[in-house]
Amino acid sequence: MMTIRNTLGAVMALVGLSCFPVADGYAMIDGHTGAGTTPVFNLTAKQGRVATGDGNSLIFWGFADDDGQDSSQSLKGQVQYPGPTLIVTEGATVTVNLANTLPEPVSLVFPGLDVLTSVVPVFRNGMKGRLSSIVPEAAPSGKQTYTFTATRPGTFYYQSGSNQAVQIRMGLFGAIIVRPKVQTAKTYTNVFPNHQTTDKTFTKFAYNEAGVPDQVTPPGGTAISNIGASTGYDREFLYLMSEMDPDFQVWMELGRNTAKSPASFGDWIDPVIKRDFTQWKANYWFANGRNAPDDMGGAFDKNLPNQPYNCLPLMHPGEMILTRFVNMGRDLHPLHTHGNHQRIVAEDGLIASSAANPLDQSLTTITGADLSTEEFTLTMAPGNSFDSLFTWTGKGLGWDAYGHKPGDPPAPYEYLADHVGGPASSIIAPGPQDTLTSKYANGQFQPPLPDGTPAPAQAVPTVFSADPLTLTFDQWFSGSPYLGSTEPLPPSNVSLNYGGSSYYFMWHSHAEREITNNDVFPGGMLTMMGIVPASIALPAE
Amino acid sequence: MKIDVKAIPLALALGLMACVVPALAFVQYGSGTMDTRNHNGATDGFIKMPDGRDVYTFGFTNISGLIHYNNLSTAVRSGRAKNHAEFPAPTLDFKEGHNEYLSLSTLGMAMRPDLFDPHTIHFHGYPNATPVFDGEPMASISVNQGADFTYFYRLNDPGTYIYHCHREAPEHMEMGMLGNLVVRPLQDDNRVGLVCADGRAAAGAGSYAGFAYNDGDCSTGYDKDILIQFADIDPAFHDADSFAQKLPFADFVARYSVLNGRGYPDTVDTAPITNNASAFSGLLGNYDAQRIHALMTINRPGGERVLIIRLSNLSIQNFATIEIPGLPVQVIGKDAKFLRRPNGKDLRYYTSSVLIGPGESAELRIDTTGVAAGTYYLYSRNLDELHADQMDRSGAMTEIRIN
Ligand SMILES: [Cu+2]
Ligand SMILES: [Cu+2]
Repeated sequence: MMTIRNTLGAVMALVGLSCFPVADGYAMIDGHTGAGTTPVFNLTAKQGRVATGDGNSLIFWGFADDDGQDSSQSLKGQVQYPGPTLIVTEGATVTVNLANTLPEPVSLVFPGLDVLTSVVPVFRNGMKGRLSSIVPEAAPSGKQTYTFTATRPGTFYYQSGSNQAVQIRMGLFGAIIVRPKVQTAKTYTNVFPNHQTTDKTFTKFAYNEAGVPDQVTPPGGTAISNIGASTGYDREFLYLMSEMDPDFQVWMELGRNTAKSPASFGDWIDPVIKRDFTQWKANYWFANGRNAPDDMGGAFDKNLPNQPYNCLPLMHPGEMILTRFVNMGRDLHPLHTHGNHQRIVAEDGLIASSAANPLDQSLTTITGADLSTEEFTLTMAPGNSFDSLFTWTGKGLGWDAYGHKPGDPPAPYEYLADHVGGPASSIIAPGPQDTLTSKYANGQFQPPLPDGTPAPAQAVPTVFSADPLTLTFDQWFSGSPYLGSTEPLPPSNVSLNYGGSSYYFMWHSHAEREITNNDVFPGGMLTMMGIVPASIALPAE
Repeated sequence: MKIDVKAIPLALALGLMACVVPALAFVQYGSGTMDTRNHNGATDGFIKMPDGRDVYTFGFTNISGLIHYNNLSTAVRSGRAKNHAEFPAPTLDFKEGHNEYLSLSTLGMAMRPDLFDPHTIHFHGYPNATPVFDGEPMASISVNQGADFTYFYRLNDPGTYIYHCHREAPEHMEMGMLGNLVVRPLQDDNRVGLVCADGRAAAGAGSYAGFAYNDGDCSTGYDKDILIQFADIDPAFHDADSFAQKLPFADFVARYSVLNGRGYPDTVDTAPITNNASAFSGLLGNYDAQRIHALMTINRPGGERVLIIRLSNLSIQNFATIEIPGLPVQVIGKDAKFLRRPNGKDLRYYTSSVLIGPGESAELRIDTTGVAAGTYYLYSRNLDELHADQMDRSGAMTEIRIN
């Protein structure tokens, strides 16, 4: 059963997708890049509202960036879910000034980063001596300053260190990205054996890898590309996962006895619906602060003022995309990448390296991510971050996925054995075609040419009948089995396909309940990753 | 997508019912020796839980033997496919190097004739996929009721995969449209030059029955392997779907946890479980809906020694920590990737428990050399997965019998 959400915001977001997108957020990580070696961020903790994918509206507590972010569309001082993504360079000494407009004390912790602010817990007399914060706090209407050193590159996060069972559920978190200091171009040879283009030159890296050798020889084997140890990438994306129980958010808005504050802050005991923390159960799941389908709309959408970030990766075949995963939720989330495996190169900001001391940059710069593993489903525990690399060339399909006709040159990163005329290019045979129905013996369709003769046999029939009695076409489909081709779609079909001829693969939580919005499918942690033909430009990073 | 039947124009309805496709010649799915094919029907059915409860399901049934060409009307006429959904779905057992033509025919729902949902097959984990054969409907096509489609997979990468319908995935998967899928390595059939590091013969008498990967040294060899898939069932959800009610995703509670569609002790019963479908409709007959058990046996006097468990999880919500006390469990693969990396780094490890999440797979290798004969248990350590609703001593548990 599919229910299409009906709020104006979603319609706007979806309509926006069908146009050519603006550059913001389509091929990059949005955030606030802190320049220099001593960047300063000014954050204010505030209350706001998130719009859910099914048209609900829930309060949240989040951070506002008082200085605005990299995007010209970002609004200074606008509270957002999740908090601003802070981007700094390895070695920087980072200052975060926190102001608090919330009714209870808030603080900041930076797991995995070398925090310089003294870590002293705060117990408050007004709270009968109970623990208020695990680090120095900003009292209501107060301020606090934190500093940390971004000693190593990686994907990290910040979150509240006060009343965490309440405040992290409420949304007081954000991602921190530390880029390596050295970003010198480096070429790996024979990354894609027997492809039209075999080498990869990277100018961007998730971790330092200046000393990683180009080739590696396994024991008793022959030399192969050492791409498996590389963290080089062409484009990068953020997947910050979180979730909400709407009953808890509503109680925080309406049910909480603020008169008893601050001693009882966060003691969620709802006499009406008989719920407490032990019964908290997520029914909304977010990627970068939005539910599907809103997460696939444009970044900084004015209809989602408190949810500026989107989640819609795009790439060209043969590109390496870096995905930075952060799980800020309470539950484990198994993220399944349709299309291909992803290679996990780091966990919790620590590169997957065989170096004797993986904290030592001089060692990991040589080993690289040599212990990286490939997974088709990545399980993220609460508080986990992962850095993952994904690529796609269509290798080994047994047919030419680029839809080439005899004589066409191969696509830039095409696997040559599958290219038309290649040894593996026509393994799939459409079988005989029925002249009456145009139906191939394998049940697929290819209408005859206008003069009545059968269309020239290609590996896969060029055209699927858009016959609504037979097949349902959905909105991210180009209508063609081939990358770079477009075929007619049913008249009612609003295409969300970039350029009309891209491939899309769902990246989603495989705990499939998590791709609903409070009983409404589709929703939740569901995004579509687009592979765009090389002939169609993507926004520069 | 639910279609209001009353709103369908008469002509369209007649067209739907007729479904006339002239019987074509036998399908030429390639005649090469590397070409294989399977044909699944998508329909509904019933299964039986260990406490006797009947649960309405959607699912697949293998109709390869019923029809030899891709013609729905034949499948329907056979009368032996519609409302014969199995849980889990028929296992797809593939070989590396083969070209698999996997046909799907949607056969209709006996209990939900109003439900015009299309179906798909998603080969979960297939590397370098294309949308057209991925079965993920939003980016491609799905197969309407009364239609057929053939997926094509060139099989390049051995390992343990899974498959499921991806149409409105939370609903169709919870309703039971999921199954085991394995791609066996070339090394099984081509052992020329293979030398086993453990001293066993590489081929012929005394050699391993097969391998999980092309390891080059028999380190993934087994005498027996088994596919075990974890899933769970909320009967209230199935009841709601059966009666066309709002589906309770928010209030979802898994009351039954199963391995290969069964709770203990049904998991160790090697006979098929016959359902009780006739109780729900006079038009239906009882049939064997749960055909795959989860009992493992290693017959050491007969020469067996090594067991490989190909484990996967297709719950729509729950993780499972699978424990196997008393046996040396080596994790040799995850998500259809050998844990000895292409660069030679050996990431295999020994453990007594494996956390497996929805959409994940792993291969566990157990060498029983030196192990005392007896019955060992494999079960989920998540305690709320060790019961069948009100019945204790059940749920996701099975046995490994070693003599
Ligand atoms: Cu899947
Ligand atoms: Cu999926």
